[in-house]
Amino acid sequence: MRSSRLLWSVILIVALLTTSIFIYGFVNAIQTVVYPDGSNLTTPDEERIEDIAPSDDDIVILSLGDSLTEGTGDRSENGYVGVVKNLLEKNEEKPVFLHTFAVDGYTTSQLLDFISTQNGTRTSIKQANLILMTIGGNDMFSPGEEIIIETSREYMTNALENLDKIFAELQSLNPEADIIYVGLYNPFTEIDKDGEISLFVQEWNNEVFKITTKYKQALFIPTFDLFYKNTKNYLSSDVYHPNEEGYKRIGERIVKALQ
Amino acid sequence: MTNIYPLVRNEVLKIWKKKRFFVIVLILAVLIPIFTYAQLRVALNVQKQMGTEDWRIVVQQQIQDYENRVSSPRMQEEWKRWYIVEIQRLQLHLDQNIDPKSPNGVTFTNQFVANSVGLFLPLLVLVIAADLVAGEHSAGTIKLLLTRPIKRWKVLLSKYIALTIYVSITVLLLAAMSYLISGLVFGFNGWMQPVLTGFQVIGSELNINNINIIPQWQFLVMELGLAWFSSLVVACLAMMVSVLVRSIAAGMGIMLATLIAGTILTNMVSSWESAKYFFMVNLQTVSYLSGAVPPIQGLTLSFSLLNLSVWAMISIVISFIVFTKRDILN
Repeated sequence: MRSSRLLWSVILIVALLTTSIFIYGFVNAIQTVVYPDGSNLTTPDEERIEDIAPSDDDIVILSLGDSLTEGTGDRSENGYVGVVKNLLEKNEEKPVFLHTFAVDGYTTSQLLDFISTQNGTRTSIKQANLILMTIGGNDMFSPGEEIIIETSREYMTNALENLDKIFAELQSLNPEADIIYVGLYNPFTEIDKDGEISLFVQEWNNEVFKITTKYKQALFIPTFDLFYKNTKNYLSSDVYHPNEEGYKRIGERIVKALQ
Repeated sequence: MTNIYPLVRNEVLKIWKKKRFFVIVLILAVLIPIFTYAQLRVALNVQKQMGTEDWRIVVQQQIQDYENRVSSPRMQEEWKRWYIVEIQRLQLHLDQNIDPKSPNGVTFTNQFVANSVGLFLPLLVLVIAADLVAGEHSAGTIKLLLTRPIKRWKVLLSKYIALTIYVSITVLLLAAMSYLISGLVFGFNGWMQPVLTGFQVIGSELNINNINIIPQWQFLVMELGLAWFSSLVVACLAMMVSVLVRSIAAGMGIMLATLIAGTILTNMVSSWESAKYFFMVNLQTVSYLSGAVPPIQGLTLSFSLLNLSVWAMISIVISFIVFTKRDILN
């Protein structure tokens, strides 16, 4: 009987305490969600990213840019980025890690904004040993629309300016990593009878190459030749992005260039 | 009031003697380590893939993944909405430099409570509530109980109070055990860690005008308050079923089926708007705190709480009417 009296008092006290806490929490929750009273958010005034440098014990690959780097069209892997990762894993005796930050449809201005403002991206850039990038295609061409070289050329100047800023920003964040820019190819060789598009794509590649010469970490990897003959064999079903085979060729070329 | 106190005491001790409560402790003691281990595996796996422990990179990666999914033309509209809101929520965490998933015991408890409120917690409550009245019928003790010179409504009221006591203790137990067990793995700190709350999802937009940074303990208390309320409503409904159906197994079956139907419904009713009047889809009150997209467009915390209250009220009224009027024959 005495034990049950003790048990009852313990249960009662615990229950009363917790119930009052729960009722308090319940009322508090209603106040917060249903009758909110403004926000106490402040804009963090400074960037709070620790000083980190890439480590030699492992290889961190960061991929930035548009759908080509995201791997659109490749059903099995992460596009050429995945190929590079697998090959490096085989060649080097170190663990290889991948940060895939590329987004379908990104333009140079979006990428510039992305690497200038996003804390996670900036942290990752600082840790990376190798940065892989494709960008610019979406500035000049919109998928599915007719290609008018004159219009595309108008967008080019601005895109190149942004690209220069992107390289500068990457270098200031991480002066050690290799920065690889994968050049554009011409997916429209079939309809490009007089070579007008090919010439324009090469014009862009040339201008980008000029920019990369200003930065000693930067490396321009051409892909134009890889997709010039038998283009269809290396493109996916959207006849725009590479297929597995196409990505494999890009990836292998990057790894060779790095050796 | 004079003679309800001993009745409540009697009921509470009866439940304790029936060892139902130890079943709950046992279930928690077995399941929480499993969930803790699963959580640990997730964390290890991310680290293995990304090669970093920096949460900013992990969150950024998640945002980029979601961005790519949203831009995929094959994505369903309602999923798209979920991803768009989630992107904004994660982005805000990045901008404010607040880790949404910092690994510690308190964060684990937070997430565990949020995930339990829809099904797991109600099931635990059922273990106690299902046989409160039906058990008396099957054991034959109902006659002994009702032949005493006490009004029937007082008997039932004492059972309700005892049930409330056990619901409170069950919710507390779930939180305490989850903190203690996961704390062994993830560490016991995290009470003062800042978290974001006050999200309002309007369509696929996240309204951030009322977002507040609060310490995590406060978030946990609010969350437990809401989870407690949801559990209480389930308890009231289970009580009604227990009064109406005299077999424990049948009563348990009915409640189980209803609750599980609720979790299935929440996964598919996004286009059937009047499903929001079912109590089951309203149980996830906790999700309004952390800014998750409600299962049906237009559900709000006030609606859910009101809806649950109405269900509980009706069930209480029915229980009292049936319990006081019914003939006890066998």
